[in-house]
Amino acid sequence: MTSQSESLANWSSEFSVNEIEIFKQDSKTIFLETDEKNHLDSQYCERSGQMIRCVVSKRLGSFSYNKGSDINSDEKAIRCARSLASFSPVLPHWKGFPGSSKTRKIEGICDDEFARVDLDYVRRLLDEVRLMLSSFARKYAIKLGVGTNQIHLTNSSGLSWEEVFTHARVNYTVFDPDTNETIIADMICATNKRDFEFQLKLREENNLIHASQKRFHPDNFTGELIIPPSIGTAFILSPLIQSLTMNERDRPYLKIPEFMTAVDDGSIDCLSGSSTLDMEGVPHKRNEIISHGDIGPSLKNLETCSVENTDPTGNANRSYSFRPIACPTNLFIQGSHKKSSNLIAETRRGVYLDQIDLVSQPMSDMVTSRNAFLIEHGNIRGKVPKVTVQIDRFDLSKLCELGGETRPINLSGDILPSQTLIAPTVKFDDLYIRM
Amino acid sequence: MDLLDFLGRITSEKDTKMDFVESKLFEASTSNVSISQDSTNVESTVSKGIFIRVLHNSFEGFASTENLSEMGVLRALEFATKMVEAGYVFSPQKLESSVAKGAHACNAVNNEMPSDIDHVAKVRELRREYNNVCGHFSEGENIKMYFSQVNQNQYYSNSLGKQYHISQTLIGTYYDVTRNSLRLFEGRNRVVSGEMSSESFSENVGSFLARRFRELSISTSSPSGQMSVITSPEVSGTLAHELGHIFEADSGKVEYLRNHLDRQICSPEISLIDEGNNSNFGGYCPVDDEGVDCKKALLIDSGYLSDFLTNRCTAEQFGLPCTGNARTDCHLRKPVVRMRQTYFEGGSDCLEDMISECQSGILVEKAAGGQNGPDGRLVLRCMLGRTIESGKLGKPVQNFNLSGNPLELLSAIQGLTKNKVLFNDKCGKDQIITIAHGGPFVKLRAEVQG
Repeated sequence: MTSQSESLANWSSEFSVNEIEIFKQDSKTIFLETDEKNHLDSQYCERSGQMIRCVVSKRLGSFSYNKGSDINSDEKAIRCARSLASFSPVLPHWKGFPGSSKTRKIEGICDDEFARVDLDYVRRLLDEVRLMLSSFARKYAIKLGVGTNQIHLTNSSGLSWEEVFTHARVNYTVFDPDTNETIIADMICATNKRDFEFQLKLREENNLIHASQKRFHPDNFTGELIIPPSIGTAFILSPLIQSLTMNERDRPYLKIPEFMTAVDDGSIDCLSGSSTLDMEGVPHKRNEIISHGDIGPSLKNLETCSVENTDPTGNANRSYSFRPIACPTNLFIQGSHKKSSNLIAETRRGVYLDQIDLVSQPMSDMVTSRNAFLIEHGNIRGKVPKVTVQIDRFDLSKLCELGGETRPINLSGDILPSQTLIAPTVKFDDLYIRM
Repeated sequence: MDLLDFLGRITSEKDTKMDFVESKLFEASTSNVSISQDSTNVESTVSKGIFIRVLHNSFEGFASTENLSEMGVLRALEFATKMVEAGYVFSPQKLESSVAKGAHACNAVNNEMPSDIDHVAKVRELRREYNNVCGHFSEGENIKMYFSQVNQNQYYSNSLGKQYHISQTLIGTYYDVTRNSLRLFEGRNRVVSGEMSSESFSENVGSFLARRFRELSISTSSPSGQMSVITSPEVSGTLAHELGHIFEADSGKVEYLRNHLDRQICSPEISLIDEGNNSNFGGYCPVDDEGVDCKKALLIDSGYLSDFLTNRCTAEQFGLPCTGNARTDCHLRKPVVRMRQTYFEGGSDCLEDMISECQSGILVEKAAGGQNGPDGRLVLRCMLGRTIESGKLGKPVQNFNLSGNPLELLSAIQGLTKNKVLFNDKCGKDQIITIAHGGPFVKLRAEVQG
């Protein structure tokens, strides 16, 4: 047992609690943003805080505070957490915080290049993205964020785990230099620079730039809809993703096509949902969560598995100011053997939504896009100015096919991420498409 | 050390070199309580953080930190300054004139510190309210209650000598009622600034929720197409707020709307206002997050487009008066142009006449948010309403959208009732902040998508 864990074990008896856990987090992020007129904007953010959780008679209390606050001692915070435990429900099958666990180094986490996050480094990275974009575009906007996140988890069961995560995210938009309309808008998330450059080059090959030279103004029609792996896929699948952590009683009724299979796995390398342990110190494991259209047992953290008397699945996620919740880590939606280009070739009449508008209403099923292309008789004909489609996201029975190639999409809104959706291209049939 | 002195020291440190330095400290204690049939959960968080913003020669630097040690704060200041010195950030024009507008003496509003909540008493009180609500429902209905209280202190100082301290308590109560796939989510926020505001629900909360859940359970799909719509004050507020977004000077629509400035764009009965002086509601903002005193903005004055919402930069960029609309939700993000308390002024009609004169339409009772799309189209998501047939209220309908071009929607307003009501709500333009919105009953023609 480490000395910190020993201190916590001693505090357990001193403060009359059964168990104690301390989660510390220090993070630093730098944003640089340049618009189509080459104006620059920037932001620096440093956060530092911790959460203390106590277990008293199978009741779990948590209290969080940050470095600047007036809570100046761990003892004071333990007393707060202990007092709040008395309000919490009894966790009938609580098995305790996990003890020491063998951790392994995951490739891609704490890449040295990203770990040196300072203004000069991020500025050089921005210049590289500019250089890459300027090879095929005259007018573009870039928002680049690079962050490091250091966590330290200690508990009275003997666990002491420290890890540094570094991540980058770039959102870029390419504009038509004459009309100022968006040609491509995309987001890249990476855990190291190699991955970052690879993804950026992939987008260079996007042949939609050529298609965007032609404009069409068709009437409304009923047809097919193709969405490549993007934030649009995450939007369409968000009720499904949210339901993966709900117990069967609370889960909404979802219609999932039989060809859909999904796996969640936080232990694989090089993705933003990867870490050696989950944020409560439980080892990750591979969870087959959707099998041929059937949702399996939900993803759990220590608290939810203690209610349902099951084993934790290694899916706890948290920051110092939010208590652990169960979340997917790296969620793979299995694709088919078909390439995305085949899905387009087999489309009689439909639209290809390269990106949805980020203001698409999260509470409604309305998807709008200004980055949409008309497909007729298997070919992308050209760009349409604006598309609105209503999709019932709880009823995916109109989801008719999946493409073969998958791509990671960062599900968390922040630079310091934790969840990735690895999704293929999705194709819907029989939707009313408003122009 | 006195916090305002501390901030004053930071902001004066660079004033000989920089055009403008400002700093704001956010201090908050938060308690969240969730209650269901078989459990209660309480969580608590205490936080403090600071932002520092530097403007010089058209450049801007922004840094935030939660490390309030001298070293931590100086590091943030150094970063913000470095970005300015490197010519790293561009803001549209020189800011000298608008900076001068912010010069004031100390203007402390309230000196209370965030108080600790007595959790035992609070949980007992909430349990009592929860049991009361449950008494209005049958066994098959699953009811959850969420309560959140944020005690917040904000300390501001800038290099022109402007200092203030605002203390505010924000309280939210939400109910989540479900039965099979049927779900009702109702919430109310209230703001306590020295004294309690009026009750958050207008009638007994249990009977209100039960009535609304009953309506929801028997409601059907709404009709679609262009039709007459009457919005309740709550929905009118959402409409006023969504319309207000186009008047935000950073919305990208100012150049276009300026062509309509001082011109009539809708009925002379319509006035759309944004202000921040009512301390009993969200969006209370006597001084904004750039140290500018709150000004009442008459966006539409008796049918005429007459004002925009601005912060220091956009006021200078567009040559408009600075209305004090720079707001941020916490120390982590830059202040941007945000609304405060936005509402339609009352008109001269009465609700009974509005309904009786309508041959076919919808009375919208509850909205679940709105969206102002990049194409300029406004969409209101509506949860519940009632059809109007031959001048009489008909069956309940649910889940439909109202949409239209904002200026066309304004010109499609046919009448407003006399009394306006304000509601607390939240707005999520990049960052979620508390606002208030409201109005009277409003009658208009709009496209309904059922």
